[in-house]
Amino acid sequence: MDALSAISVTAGSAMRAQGDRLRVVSENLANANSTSQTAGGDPYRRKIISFENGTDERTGSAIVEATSTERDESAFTLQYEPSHPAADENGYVKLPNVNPLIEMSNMREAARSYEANLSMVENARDMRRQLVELLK
Amino acid sequence: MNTESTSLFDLATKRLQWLSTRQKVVSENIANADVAEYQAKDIESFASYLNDTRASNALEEADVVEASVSWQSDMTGNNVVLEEQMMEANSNASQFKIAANLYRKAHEMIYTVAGRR
Repeated sequence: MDALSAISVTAGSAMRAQGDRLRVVSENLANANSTSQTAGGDPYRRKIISFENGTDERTGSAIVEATSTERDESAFTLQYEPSHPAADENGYVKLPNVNPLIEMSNMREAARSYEANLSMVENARDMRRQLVELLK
Repeated sequence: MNTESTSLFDLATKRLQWLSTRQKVVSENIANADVAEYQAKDIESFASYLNDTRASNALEEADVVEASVSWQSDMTGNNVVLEEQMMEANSNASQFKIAANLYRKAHEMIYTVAGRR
């Protein structure tokens, strides 16, 4: 496979991975206030996505894959709210370990990386167009 | 028609090939900008690529090497600087344009000699 076509495969896989990352961010943000259904139970645990580089089986070009989503094992914040249905016997409610600030910066970074890959696709397409124009 | 050891077409073709390989490597760096422990890559210089391929007629891919210029690595051990790579990509694209135009000019020279234009 020629180098210029390989760029589309590589950048495309990276865009897909960044899209997956954005999905996880939006899942975290959507559940930023999801407490447990049972009294004293654990609330929503933040998800973390990780990327890995691999090789595309069909074309043999380098790609990026979102391999796994793990859970953030950091501690939950406790809030004193005895009337809450999820409160434990001492009146504390466990809140999800989602920090909106971290999620927002994560989102920004994913969007920027997505843009960078998109401009690589455009760049490669431009280069290929110049090659085709040599035939005219 | 070319009596010199390296023809204009040959040189332009190799330059285009080298630049597209380079663009591929840059694109891999950008794609892997968020992968833990990924080390930025580059390809051999054009001079060394020319040297390596002087003997063969087939169009070969340039060798991929570890990038020498990298400012720092982040906490995951990834040393891709996105800004640096984007600048590389843009400079590759414009150099590609120059090489493609060079090829076209060489073609036009042949046309001129053939009296078609």
